[in-house]
Amino acid sequence: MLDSRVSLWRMERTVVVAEIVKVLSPYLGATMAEASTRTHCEKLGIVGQAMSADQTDALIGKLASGLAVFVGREKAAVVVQEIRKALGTQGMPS
Amino acid sequence: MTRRAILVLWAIPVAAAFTLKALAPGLSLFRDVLTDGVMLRIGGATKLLLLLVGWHFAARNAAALEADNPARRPWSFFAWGLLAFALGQAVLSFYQIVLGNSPYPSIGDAFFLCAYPLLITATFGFVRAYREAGYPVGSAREHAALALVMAVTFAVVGYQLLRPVMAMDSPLPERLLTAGYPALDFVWLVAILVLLRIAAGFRGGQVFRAWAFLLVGTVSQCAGDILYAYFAVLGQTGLDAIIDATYIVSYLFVALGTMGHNDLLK
Repeated sequence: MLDSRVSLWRMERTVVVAEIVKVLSPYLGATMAEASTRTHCEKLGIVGQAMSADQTDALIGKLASGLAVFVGREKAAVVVQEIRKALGTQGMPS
Repeated sequence: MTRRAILVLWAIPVAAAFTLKALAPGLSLFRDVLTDGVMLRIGGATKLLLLLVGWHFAARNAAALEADNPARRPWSFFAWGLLAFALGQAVLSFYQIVLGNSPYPSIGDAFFLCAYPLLITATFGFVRAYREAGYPVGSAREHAALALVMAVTFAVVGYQLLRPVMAMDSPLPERLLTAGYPALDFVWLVAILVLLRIAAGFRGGQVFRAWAFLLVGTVSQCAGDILYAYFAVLGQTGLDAIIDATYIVSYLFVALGTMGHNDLLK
Protein backbone atom coordinates (compact mmCIF):
# COMPACT_ATOMS: atom_id res chain seq x y z
CA MET A 1 0.00 0.00 0.00
CA LEU A 2 1.05 3.55 -0.57
CA ASP A 3 1.57 5.76 2.45
CA SER A 4 0.86 9.43 3.07
CA ARG A 5 4.26 10.44 1.72
CA VAL A 6 3.10 9.61 -1.74
CA SER A 7 -0.40 11.06 -1.50
CA LEU A 8 0.72 13.93 -3.66
CA TRP A 9 1.70 11.53 -6.44
CA ARG A 10 -0.48 12.05 -9.50
CA MET A 11 -0.21 10.79 -13.02
CA GLU A 12 -2.02 11.18 -16.30
CA ARG A 13 -4.84 8.60 -16.38
CA THR A 14 -4.02 7.69 -19.97
CA VAL A 15 -0.42 6.92 -19.00
CA VAL A 16 -1.49 4.72 -16.05
CA VAL A 17 -4.04 2.87 -18.19
CA ALA A 18 -1.51 2.38 -21.01
CA GLU A 19 1.08 0.93 -18.62
CA ILE A 20 -1.45 -1.41 -16.97
CA VAL A 21 -2.77 -2.55 -20.36
CA LYS A 22 0.77 -3.23 -21.53
CA VAL A 23 1.41 -5.56 -18.57
CA LEU A 24 -1.99 -7.29 -18.64
CA SER A 25 -2.14 -7.83 -22.43
CA PRO A 26 0.01 -11.00 -22.55
CA TYR A 27 -2.41 -12.63 -20.09
CA LEU A 28 -5.80 -11.17 -21.02
CA GLY A 29 -5.23 -10.06 -24.62
CA ALA A 30 -4.99 -6.39 -25.57
CA THR A 31 -8.73 -5.89 -26.07
CA MET A 32 -9.78 -7.37 -22.72
CA ALA A 33 -6.89 -5.68 -20.90
CA GLU A 34 -7.97 -2.29 -22.19
CA ALA A 35 -11.71 -2.88 -21.79
CA SER A 36 -11.37 -4.20 -18.24
CA THR A 37 -9.07 -1.38 -17.17
CA ARG A 38 -11.45 1.25 -18.55
CA THR A 39 -14.49 -0.51 -17.05
CA HIS A 40 -12.89 -0.59 -13.61
CA CYS A 41 -11.87 3.07 -13.96
CA GLU A 42 -15.53 3.93 -14.58
CA LYS A 43 -16.74 1.75 -11.70
CA LEU A 44 -14.24 3.40 -9.36
CA GLY A 45 -15.29 6.85 -10.54
CA ILE A 46 -11.88 7.59 -12.05
CA VAL A 47 -12.92 10.01 -14.75
CA GLY A 48 -10.55 12.99 -14.52
CA GLN A 49 -7.32 13.49 -16.41
CA ALA A 50 -5.11 12.86 -13.39
CA MET A 51 -5.03 9.78 -11.14
CA SER A 52 -3.94 9.80 -7.52
CA ALA A 53 -1.88 7.04 -5.93
CA ASP A 54 -4.95 5.84 -4.01
CA GLN A 55 -7.01 5.61 -7.19
CA THR A 56 -4.18 3.74 -8.92
CA ASP A 57 -3.95 1.35 -5.98
CA ALA A 58 -7.70 0.74 -6.05
CA LEU A 59 -7.64 0.11 -9.81
CA ILE A 60 -4.74 -2.34 -9.56
CA GLY A 61 -6.49 -4.11 -6.67
CA LYS A 62 -9.70 -4.58 -8.67
CA LEU A 63 -7.85 -5.87 -11.72
CA ALA A 64 -5.73 -8.21 -9.61
CA SER A 65 -8.72 -9.76 -7.81
CA GLY A 66 -10.33 -10.55 -11.18
CA LEU A 67 -7.09 -11.85 -12.65
CA ALA A 68 -6.65 -14.15 -9.63
CA VAL A 69 -9.76 -16.12 -10.70
CA PHE A 70 -7.92 -17.08 -13.91
CA VAL A 71 -4.31 -17.39 -12.79
CA GLY A 72 -4.46 -17.80 -9.00
CA ARG A 73 -3.63 -15.27 -6.32
CA GLU A 74 0.10 -15.95 -6.35
CA LYS A 75 0.51 -15.29 -10.07
CA ALA A 76 -1.82 -12.28 -9.85
CA ALA A 77 0.50 -10.85 -7.17
CA VAL A 78 3.43 -11.28 -9.57
CA VAL A 79 1.48 -9.40 -12.26
CA VAL A 80 0.68 -6.62 -9.76
CA GLN A 81 4.40 -6.31 -9.07
CA GLU A 82 5.01 -6.04 -12.82
CA ILE A 83 2.42 -3.24 -13.01
CA ARG A 84 3.95 -1.41 -10.05
CA LYS A 85 7.38 -1.77 -11.57
CA ALA A 86 6.14 -0.37 -14.87
CA LEU A 87 4.43 2.53 -13.09
CA GLY A 88 7.55 3.00 -10.95
CA THR A 89 9.50 3.88 -14.04
CA GLN A 90 6.81 6.53 -14.59
CA GLY A 91 7.48 8.00 -11.15
CA MET A 92 5.03 6.03 -8.94
CA PRO A 93 6.66 4.72 -5.74
CA SER A 94 6.29 0.93 -5.42
CA MET B 1 11.63 -32.11 -26.48
CA THR B 2 8.74 -30.85 -24.34
CA ARG B 3 5.95 -33.07 -22.99
CA ARG B 4 3.57 -31.07 -25.16
CA ALA B 5 5.58 -31.78 -28.33
CA ILE B 6 5.77 -35.49 -27.50
CA LEU B 7 1.98 -35.67 -27.12
CA VAL B 8 1.41 -33.83 -30.41
CA LEU B 9 4.02 -35.89 -32.30
CA TRP B 10 2.40 -39.09 -31.04
CA ALA B 11 -1.30 -38.24 -31.29
CA ILE B 12 -1.42 -36.41 -34.63
CA PRO B 13 0.12 -39.25 -36.71
CA VAL B 14 -2.22 -41.72 -34.96
CA ALA B 15 -5.23 -39.52 -35.78
CA ALA B 16 -3.90 -39.12 -39.34
CA ALA B 17 -3.62 -42.91 -39.69
CA PHE B 18 -7.28 -43.33 -38.63
CA THR B 19 -8.32 -40.62 -41.08
CA LEU B 20 -6.38 -42.29 -43.89
CA LYS B 21 -7.99 -45.61 -42.98
CA ALA B 22 -11.44 -44.03 -43.29
CA LEU B 23 -10.60 -42.48 -46.65
CA ALA B 24 -8.67 -45.40 -48.16
CA PRO B 25 -9.42 -48.58 -46.21
CA GLY B 26 -8.20 -50.76 -49.06
CA LEU B 27 -4.55 -49.69 -48.76
CA SER B 28 -2.10 -52.55 -48.24
CA LEU B 29 -0.78 -50.61 -45.20
CA PHE B 30 -4.03 -51.36 -43.39
CA ARG B 31 -4.15 -54.95 -44.64
CA ASP B 32 -0.56 -55.93 -43.77
CA VAL B 33 0.81 -53.58 -41.08
CA LEU B 34 -1.83 -51.44 -39.42
CA THR B 35 -4.45 -54.16 -39.26
CA ASP B 36 -7.78 -53.65 -37.46
CA GLY B 37 -6.40 -55.20 -34.27
CA VAL B 38 -3.26 -53.04 -34.35
CA MET B 39 -5.25 -49.85 -35.00
CA LEU B 40 -7.72 -50.70 -32.24
CA ARG B 41 -4.89 -51.18 -29.73
CA ILE B 42 -2.92 -48.08 -30.78
CA GLY B 43 -6.08 -45.95 -30.78
CA GLY B 44 -7.25 -47.23 -27.39
CA ALA B 45 -3.86 -46.71 -25.75
CA THR B 46 -3.51 -43.20 -27.25
CA LYS B 47 -6.96 -42.10 -26.05
CA LEU B 48 -6.29 -43.45 -22.56
CA LEU B 49 -2.91 -41.70 -22.36
CA LEU B 50 -4.37 -38.35 -23.47
CA LEU B 51 -7.28 -38.56 -21.02
CA LEU B 52 -4.94 -39.38 -18.15
CA VAL B 53 -2.74 -36.40 -19.05
CA GLY B 54 -5.83 -34.16 -19.18
CA TRP B 55 -7.05 -35.47 -15.81
CA HIS B 56 -3.61 -35.05 -14.20
CA PHE B 57 -3.25 -31.40 -15.25
CA ALA B 58 -6.89 -30.51 -14.49
CA ALA B 59 -6.42 -31.90 -10.96
CA ARG B 60 -3.18 -29.91 -10.63
CA ASN B 61 -5.00 -26.77 -11.77
CA ALA B 62 -7.64 -27.26 -9.07
CA ALA B 63 -4.98 -27.88 -6.44
CA ALA B 64 -3.01 -24.80 -7.49
CA LEU B 65 -5.95 -22.43 -6.88
CA GLU B 66 -6.78 -21.11 -3.43
CA ALA B 67 -9.71 -22.69 -1.53
CA ASP B 68 -11.85 -19.55 -1.99
CA ASN B 69 -11.08 -19.16 -5.71
CA PRO B 70 -14.40 -19.58 -7.58
CA ALA B 71 -12.63 -21.47 -10.41
CA ARG B 72 -11.23 -24.14 -8.08
CA ARG B 73 -14.44 -26.17 -7.77
CA PRO B 74 -15.09 -26.19 -11.56
CA TRP B 75 -11.52 -27.40 -12.10
CA SER B 76 -12.12 -30.18 -9.55
CA PHE B 77 -15.33 -31.24 -11.30
CA PHE B 78 -13.55 -31.07 -14.65
CA ALA B 79 -10.75 -33.29 -13.31
CA TRP B 80 -13.26 -35.83 -11.93
CA GLY B 81 -15.09 -35.79 -15.25
CA LEU B 82 -11.89 -36.49 -17.18
CA LEU B 83 -11.01 -39.24 -14.69
CA ALA B 84 -14.40 -40.85 -15.30
CA PHE B 85 -13.73 -40.66 -19.06
CA ALA B 86 -10.28 -42.16 -18.50
CA LEU B 87 -11.77 -45.02 -16.46
CA GLY B 88 -14.34 -45.64 -19.18
CA GLN B 89 -11.58 -45.63 -21.77
CA ALA B 90 -9.45 -47.91 -19.55
CA VAL B 91 -12.24 -50.50 -19.55
CA LEU B 92 -12.63 -50.12 -23.31
CA SER B 93 -8.85 -50.23 -23.83
CA PHE B 94 -8.69 -53.45 -21.80
CA TYR B 95 -11.07 -55.06 -24.27
CA GLN B 96 -9.27 -53.47 -27.22
CA ILE B 97 -5.69 -54.22 -26.17
CA VAL B 98 -6.22 -57.64 -24.55
CA LEU B 99 -9.10 -59.04 -26.58
CA GLY B 100 -8.86 -56.92 -29.73
CA ASN B 101 -12.56 -55.97 -29.80
CA SER B 102 -14.83 -53.11 -28.64
CA PRO B 103 -18.03 -54.35 -26.97
CA TYR B 104 -20.90 -51.85 -27.03
CA PRO B 105 -22.42 -51.26 -24.56
CA SER B 106 -19.85 -52.23 -21.92
CA ILE B 107 -19.18 -51.41 -18.26
CA GLY B 108 -16.99 -48.61 -19.63
CA ASP B 109 -20.14 -46.77 -20.73
CA ALA B 110 -21.19 -46.43 -17.08
CA PHE B 111 -18.03 -44.38 -16.47
CA PHE B 112 -18.51 -42.35 -19.66
CA LEU B 113 -22.09 -41.53 -18.61
CA CYS B 114 -20.96 -40.53 -15.09
CA ALA B 115 -18.48 -38.07 -16.65
CA TYR B 116 -21.13 -35.89 -18.28
CA PRO B 117 -22.85 -34.44 -15.18
CA LEU B 118 -19.40 -33.63 -13.80
CA LEU B 119 -18.20 -31.94 -16.99
CA ILE B 120 -21.46 -30.04 -17.52
CA THR B 121 -21.42 -28.81 -13.90
CA ALA B 122 -17.76 -27.83 -14.31
CA THR B 123 -18.40 -25.85 -17.49
CA PHE B 124 -21.35 -23.92 -16.02
CA GLY B 125 -19.15 -23.36 -12.94
CA PHE B 126 -16.43 -21.78 -15.10
CA VAL B 127 -19.04 -19.51 -16.71
CA ARG B 128 -20.20 -18.32 -13.28
CA ALA B 129 -16.67 -17.91 -11.90
CA TYR B 130 -15.40 -15.94 -14.88
CA ARG B 131 -18.47 -13.72 -15.03
CA GLU B 132 -17.97 -12.86 -11.37
CA ALA B 133 -14.31 -11.99 -11.96
CA GLY B 134 -15.46 -8.49 -12.84
CA TYR B 135 -14.20 -8.39 -16.42
CA PRO B 136 -16.49 -7.22 -19.22
CA VAL B 137 -17.41 -10.69 -20.51
CA GLY B 138 -21.16 -10.17 -20.87
CA SER B 139 -23.98 -10.10 -18.38
CA ALA B 140 -25.80 -13.05 -16.84
CA ARG B 141 -28.84 -12.08 -18.91
CA GLU B 142 -26.82 -12.09 -22.13
CA HIS B 143 -25.36 -15.51 -21.31
CA ALA B 144 -28.82 -16.85 -20.43
CA ALA B 145 -30.20 -15.60 -23.77
CA LEU B 146 -27.34 -17.25 -25.67
CA ALA B 147 -27.88 -20.48 -23.73
CA LEU B 148 -31.60 -20.41 -24.48
CA VAL B 149 -31.07 -19.92 -28.23
CA MET B 150 -28.51 -22.74 -28.28
CA ALA B 151 -30.76 -25.02 -26.22
CA VAL B 152 -33.70 -24.53 -28.59
CA THR B 153 -31.47 -25.05 -31.65
CA PHE B 154 -29.94 -28.22 -30.21
CA ALA B 155 -33.35 -29.50 -29.15
CA VAL B 156 -34.57 -29.23 -32.75
CA VAL B 157 -31.38 -30.73 -34.24
CA GLY B 158 -31.25 -33.38 -31.50
CA TYR B 159 -34.82 -34.45 -32.07
CA GLN B 160 -34.22 -34.81 -35.83
CA LEU B 161 -31.00 -36.75 -35.28
CA LEU B 162 -31.99 -38.94 -32.37
CA ARG B 163 -35.53 -39.96 -33.33
CA PRO B 164 -34.22 -42.32 -36.07
CA VAL B 165 -31.62 -43.67 -33.61
CA MET B 166 -34.38 -44.69 -31.20
CA ALA B 167 -36.26 -46.33 -34.08
CA MET B 168 -33.24 -48.43 -35.14
CA ASP B 169 -33.41 -52.20 -35.12
CA SER B 170 -30.98 -52.83 -32.25
CA PRO B 171 -31.26 -53.70 -28.53
CA LEU B 172 -32.79 -50.96 -26.35
CA PRO B 173 -29.65 -50.36 -24.20
CA GLU B 174 -27.60 -49.78 -27.36
CA ARG B 175 -30.18 -47.36 -28.78
CA LEU B 176 -30.45 -45.51 -25.46
CA LEU B 177 -26.68 -45.11 -25.32
CA THR B 178 -26.31 -44.10 -28.95
CA ALA B 179 -28.98 -41.42 -28.43
CA GLY B 180 -27.96 -40.60 -24.85
CA TYR B 181 -24.40 -39.52 -25.60
CA PRO B 182 -25.33 -36.87 -28.19
CA ALA B 183 -28.21 -35.69 -25.96
CA LEU B 184 -25.76 -35.14 -23.10
CA ASP B 185 -23.31 -33.56 -25.54
CA PHE B 186 -25.94 -31.05 -26.64
CA VAL B 187 -26.48 -30.02 -23.00
CA TRP B 188 -22.72 -29.76 -22.50
CA LEU B 189 -22.39 -27.78 -25.75
CA VAL B 190 -24.78 -25.11 -24.42
CA ALA B 191 -22.42 -24.45 -21.51
CA ILE B 192 -19.32 -24.75 -23.73
CA LEU B 193 -20.61 -22.16 -26.20
CA VAL B 194 -21.38 -19.66 -23.42
CA LEU B 195 -17.86 -20.24 -22.10
CA LEU B 196 -16.52 -19.78 -25.62
CA ARG B 197 -18.33 -16.43 -25.79
CA ILE B 198 -16.54 -15.41 -22.58
CA ALA B 199 -13.15 -16.76 -23.69
CA ALA B 200 -13.41 -14.93 -27.04
CA GLY B 201 -13.05 -11.64 -25.18
CA PHE B 202 -9.54 -12.67 -24.16
CA ARG B 203 -8.24 -13.10 -27.73
CA GLY B 204 -4.49 -12.61 -28.01
CA GLY B 205 -3.78 -13.53 -24.38
CA GLN B 206 -2.59 -16.67 -22.60
CA VAL B 207 -6.05 -17.11 -21.01
CA PHE B 208 -7.61 -17.35 -24.48
CA ARG B 209 -4.95 -19.73 -25.84
CA ALA B 210 -5.48 -22.15 -22.94
CA TRP B 211 -9.27 -21.99 -23.26
CA ALA B 212 -9.17 -22.24 -27.06
CA PHE B 213 -7.43 -25.63 -26.84
CA LEU B 214 -9.80 -26.85 -24.15
CA LEU B 215 -12.95 -25.66 -25.89
CA VAL B 216 -11.91 -26.95 -29.34
CA GLY B 217 -11.21 -30.27 -27.62
CA THR B 218 -14.59 -30.46 -25.91
CA VAL B 219 -16.47 -29.38 -29.05
CA SER B 220 -14.60 -32.07 -31.06
CA GLN B 221 -15.51 -34.64 -28.43
CA CYS B 222 -19.17 -33.72 -28.74
CA ALA B 223 -18.78 -33.86 -32.53
CA GLY B 224 -17.39 -37.41 -32.23
CA ASP B 225 -20.43 -38.60 -30.27
CA ILE B 226 -22.86 -36.84 -32.59
CA LEU B 227 -21.09 -38.23 -35.69
CA TYR B 228 -21.29 -41.70 -34.19
CA ALA B 229 -25.06 -41.39 -33.79
CA TYR B 230 -25.39 -39.88 -37.28
CA PHE B 231 -23.34 -42.63 -38.91
CA ALA B 232 -25.34 -45.22 -36.96
CA VAL B 233 -28.54 -43.77 -38.43
CA LEU B 234 -27.00 -43.90 -41.89
CA GLY B 235 -25.77 -47.44 -41.27
CA GLN B 236 -22.22 -46.29 -42.13
CA THR B 237 -20.21 -48.43 -39.71
CA GLY B 238 -17.15 -48.19 -42.00
CA LEU B 239 -16.68 -44.59 -40.90
CA ASP B 240 -15.74 -45.54 -37.32
CA ALA B 241 -12.12 -44.62 -38.08
CA ILE B 242 -13.16 -40.97 -38.58
CA ILE B 243 -14.78 -41.01 -35.14
CA ASP B 244 -11.64 -42.49 -33.60
CA ALA B 245 -9.57 -39.73 -35.23
CA THR B 246 -12.01 -37.11 -33.89
CA TYR B 247 -11.75 -38.48 -30.34
CA ILE B 248 -7.94 -38.60 -30.47
CA VAL B 249 -7.73 -34.99 -31.68
CA SER B 250 -10.30 -33.87 -29.10
CA TYR B 251 -8.52 -35.59 -26.19
CA LEU B 252 -5.22 -34.13 -27.43
CA PHE B 253 -6.68 -30.62 -27.39
CA VAL B 254 -8.20 -31.15 -23.94
CA ALA B 255 -4.82 -32.35 -22.64
CA LEU B 256 -3.05 -29.36 -24.22
CA GLY B 257 -5.68 -27.00 -22.79
CA THR B 258 -5.29 -28.30 -19.25
CA MET B 259 -1.49 -28.06 -19.63
CA GLY B 260 -1.85 -24.49 -20.94
CA HIS B 261 -3.87 -23.56 -17.87
CA ASN B 262 -1.21 -25.11 -15.69
CA ASP B 263 1.37 -22.82 -17.33
CA LEU B 264 -0.88 -19.85 -16.50
CA LEU B 265 -0.88 -20.79 -12.82
CA LYS B 266 2.91 -21.07 -12.53
